[in-house]
Parts: sequence; structure tokens; C-alpha cells
Amino acid sequence: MLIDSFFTSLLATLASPWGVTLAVLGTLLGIVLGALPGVSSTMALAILLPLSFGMTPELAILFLLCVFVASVYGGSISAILINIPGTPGAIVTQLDGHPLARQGRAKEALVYALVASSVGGVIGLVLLVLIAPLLASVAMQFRSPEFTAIAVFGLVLLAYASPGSTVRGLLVGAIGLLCGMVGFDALTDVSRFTFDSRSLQGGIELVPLCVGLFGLAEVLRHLHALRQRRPDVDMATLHSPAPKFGALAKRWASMLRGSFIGALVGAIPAAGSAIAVAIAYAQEMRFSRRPERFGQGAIEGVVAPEAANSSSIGGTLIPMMTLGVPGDAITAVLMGSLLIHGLRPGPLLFAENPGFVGSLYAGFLLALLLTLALGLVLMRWLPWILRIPNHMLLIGIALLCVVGAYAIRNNMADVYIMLFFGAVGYVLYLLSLPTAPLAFGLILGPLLEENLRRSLLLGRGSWDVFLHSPIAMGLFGLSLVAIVLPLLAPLWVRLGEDIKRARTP
Amino acid sequence: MRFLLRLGRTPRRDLACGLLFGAVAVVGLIEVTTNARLMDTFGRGPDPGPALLPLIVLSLLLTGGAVLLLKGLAGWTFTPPEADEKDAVEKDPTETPPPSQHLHAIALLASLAVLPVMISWLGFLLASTLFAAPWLIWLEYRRGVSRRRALLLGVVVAALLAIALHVVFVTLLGIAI
Repeated sequence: MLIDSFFTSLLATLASPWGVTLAVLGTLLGIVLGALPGVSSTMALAILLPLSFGMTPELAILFLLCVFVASVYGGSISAILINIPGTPGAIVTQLDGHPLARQGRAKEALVYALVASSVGGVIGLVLLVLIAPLLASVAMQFRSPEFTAIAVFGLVLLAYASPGSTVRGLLVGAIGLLCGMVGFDALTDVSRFTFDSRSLQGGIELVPLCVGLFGLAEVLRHLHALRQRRPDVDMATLHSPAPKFGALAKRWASMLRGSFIGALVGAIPAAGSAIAVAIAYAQEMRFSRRPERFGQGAIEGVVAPEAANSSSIGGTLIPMMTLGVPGDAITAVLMGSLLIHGLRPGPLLFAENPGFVGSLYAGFLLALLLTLALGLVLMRWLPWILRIPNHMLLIGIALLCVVGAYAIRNNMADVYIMLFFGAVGYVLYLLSLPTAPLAFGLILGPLLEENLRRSLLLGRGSWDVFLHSPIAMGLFGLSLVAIVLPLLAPLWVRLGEDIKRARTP
Repeated sequence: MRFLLRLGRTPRRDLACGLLFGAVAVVGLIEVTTNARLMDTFGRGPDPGPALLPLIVLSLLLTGGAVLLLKGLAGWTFTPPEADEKDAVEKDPTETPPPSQHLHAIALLASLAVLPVMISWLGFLLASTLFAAPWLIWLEYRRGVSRRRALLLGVVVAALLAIALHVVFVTLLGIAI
């Protein structure tokens, strides 16, 4: 049934001029924005999200997936050509990609990155198609106590993987939970945290929060650094010959290893692409017969991380689609788009909307194919993309944030909410606090509250209802470990050092 | 002000984080406990009511804020200022952003806050051009471009940006801004 709707959606999109145009446009925007240093995939998605409001859910997810997939490849362009990663996932690509460019082999490195990215993306998609329905069918057996535990576990894990300490991430997530409670309570119609403001009675939408937090706050951060010019790209390096098919095929093992690592690590909520590429790179070094070449232009050092980076997309979509828990900040923004269109990701999505799930898979495949095709066609013009002045881009993004926030409900109150969260994002950056848990809290808040209250209703007010669920208790236990482990780890290390010191004569 | 500009230093950062989380928790607790309708539902009947989760979350936030505040106070009291300074610089010399960054950020936020009012008076096209042009001229000038060129480029690019956004959002997507 899912396969049927996958092929139906794929053919329907290919037959629709509007669908193809949107997919091409999304891919072009994704490559350009991903290539520009300072514009992460999350930011690209957040600022382009408002463009999808007027589309059908299928076209909206197609457009956003094209932006997402293409921006992941785009991130490697600046990493290879100017040694500045366009996205956090490309941070490892620059280690060997840029030395290759300096040796006059930029085109070779870019083609390897593009092909590895496409192969990784396809493997990530296959794993998503295979694993997601299984996990969703298991999740269908869950009741309120298990979903309460999943929400808590998701929030803790997302805070755990955020930069900085877990506790600080959790406290930011707690503010996100409070933001999710603003407005009228769905069951009792009692207002909460509205401060007698009519604008807050409808609650805080995820989109202005994401646009402010991941779009405007980044503009505020980067505005002052615009005096610095980017290094110029040597055009001659892009006239070098591209690798032949045989040479590309020889790298199949690196591509496969990177892809599986990326998809599996990506599937862990909050692990994200940055961790996946680091593991893929380290593994590739271990497997290499000449690990000393890494860092000096080893092709495997580009291929494996790029495959992992792209395949982690499929991985991050698994917890989002099956449990309703965003895999990372990018999938949190994607979830915002689905929620705007009235679709709540989770196990019920597979049961109630298999057609949409099929079109998501089809959109993902189309995004990968278009990124490969357009990436190859656009290769010679890449240096021009990197010449787009950053200040023009940032002022354009600031304007886009305002229009995008307004477009949600044609309401200026959303613009001020977006501005507020832009300022909050900037303050969090000054305090070295992670911003993403705020969005995670807003997403997981309703899931947590609804299921917590329902669980207590089931237990007639008794918290024992959680004790009767081994899955819930297991998840609560893991959450506790994730909180306590970073607190105890330094003590453990210090204890080890003390013992070592005591033993040495 | 100096304190705020040097938030990167660990004890000061702990203090600032503690104050932030504590302030949010106190404001939230006041809002919840003074809301009679909300508190009336608490602990009555089988449904724990809409006050339960806010109270749990706010209590955690208050506790976390207090712990960070105490940690910051302890760090500030027991760490010699020279050591604090040296440690912070060694850990990350770029951690503390320059004051000009804050000025740019505040100015951009302020101008964006005025933009919706300008849009309601002048319409989107003119208001967004008037917003973007001074920023682009200033940022172009800061990059070392001559005043005349900065002025010309700023105005032209601002107008092009405004037209592009107008075409996409107003003409194509039909958003009434």
C-alpha cells in the first residue's frame, strides 16, 4: 500500500509542472543557501518555510525536502572550495576536501562529495522506508504512560546532545515547554501565561519561534562580522577533470560504511549529522591502509562523511515520523510545516495518512535525484554563488523573516513574536545556551501534557500507572542516566586520575 | 553594562543564566498562582488539571536557576579575578563578542520592530525599501566601499530585495501585507 502511494506520488509530481518547478526551485535555493557560510540547513529551512504555507501538504513537504537535501550537499561546497563549512554537517568534509582543492582537484572533490551524498541519501531513504513502518507499528501499541515517557526521554536526549551542559539544555527546554502552554488549555478552556494579551490567547506557533530562533537570531549574530571578506575561489581548480565512473565506483565501500553510520546515528534523536560525520570519518581512518593521508587530501575523507551527512537525513526522519519526536533542529522545523498543514507526525500518520507518507518518500527521492543533477550542472558556477555578498543576504533574510512570520496568519502579532524569539535566540547565544531545546520543548510540550494528564486519569490520580509500564520506566531510567552522566563524568575522570597518581611512585 | 559584555566568563555566565531561569520561573509562578480559574482546577477531580505541568516545570526551572545562581556566586567569590580572567582567555579568546556586535543586533531589532508600523503606513514595497536601504548602505560602507558607491548599491539592492519579496509573497502567494 505504501509502495503504491510512493509510486503514485512520484508519478503525480513528475507529471505536474508546478510540482517539478517547486522541486527545482527548492533544490537551487538549497544548494545556494547551503553553500553560503553562515546559513545552516536549519536556517535555510526556517526562512523558506513560510513559502510553503499556501501549498498542499504534499507540495510543501516536497519543496522543503528539496531545500533540506540540497543544502546538505551545498554545505560541502564552501567546505571544499574556501575551507569554511556551509553547514555543521560539512565540518569534517573540509579536512580533506580543501587540501584536494589546493592541489587543483576541487572539481574531483566536489563530484565525489555530490555522488557520495546522493548514494548516502538513497541508503538513508531505504532504511527510513524499511524501519519507519516497523517502529510505527510498535508505537501503535503504546498508551499514554509510554508516550509521556517518550516525550520526557526525547526532551532529555535532545538537551543532552545540544552544545553545552545537559542541565542547561534541559532548562532551556523547560522554557520551551512553558511556551507550548501559552493560550487556552484544550480540555478546560482556562487561559495560561497570556498576561491578559489577546495576541497570546491563540498560543505561540512553532513557525514564528523557529523563524526567530534559527533565522533572525543567526542574522543578529553574524551582522557585525560582515567586514571580513571571504577568501576568493581559484577558478582554475574547477576546470580539472571530473572523476570517471570507474573511479567513483571504486569508493563503494567508503560510501556504504558512511551511509550506514549516518543513517543509524541520525536515527538516534538529537545525535544529528555533525556526530554522524565525525564517526564516519574516524571509522574511515581506521579502515584505511594509509591513515596518514587523512587531512592531506584523502578521497575517502570526503566520501564517507558526505555519505554519512546525507544518509543521516533519512535517519533523523525516523523518530519524527514514527514517534513525533524531532530528530534534530532541522526536523523540528519540518515538523512545524506538517503541523501548519494539520498533520501531526507520529504512529497515527502511517495509519491515517499513508498517502502522505508515500509522497514524503517520493519527495525525498526526487530531492536526491535533483540535487545530483543540478549539482553536476551548476558545478562550474559555484564560485559565483560564494561571491554573493553576505550583508545583502542577511538583510534579505531579516526581511524574509518578517514577511514569513506575518504570512502564517496574516497577523502582525506573529511578527512581534518572531522578533521576541530572535532576541531570545541572541541572548541564549550570549549566555552560551543551546537554542534548539526551546523549539523541542514547544513541540513536545503538548504531547507531554496531553499524555501525562491522560495517564493520571487512567490511574485515577495515582502516579503508579507509570510503574506498571516497563517501557515507560525504562525510558525514565535512561532519561535519568542522560542527566546524571554528564554531572558524574568529570568526577569519575578526576577519581581515575587520582588513583593513577597514587599508584605512580 | 561591562558585566553584560563579559558574559563569556564562566562564573558570570552561571550568574546570568541563573538569573534568567530564576526570573522566568518567578514570573511564571506568579502568573499561575494568581490565576484563580487555573488554580481552582488543581487537585480537583480525576483530571490533574492544566496547572499541574506548569507547576512542575516552573519548580524545576526555579531549582535549576537557583543552583546555577549559587554556582555562579561561589565561583565569583572563590575564584581570584586574575585566575578567572586568565582561565577565560585560555579557554576561548573569542567567546566574548565585541560591543559593536550588540549595537548592531539591537539596532537591527529596533528597526525591524518599527517595520510593521511603517508597512501599515506606507505599504510593504516602500517600507521594506526604506528599512533595507540604510542598512545596506551602512554595511557596504563598513566594508570599505566609497560613500557614493555604497549609497548607490544600497538603494538599488534594497529596492530589488523589496520588489523580489513583493512579487513572491504578495503577487504569487497572495499574502495581504
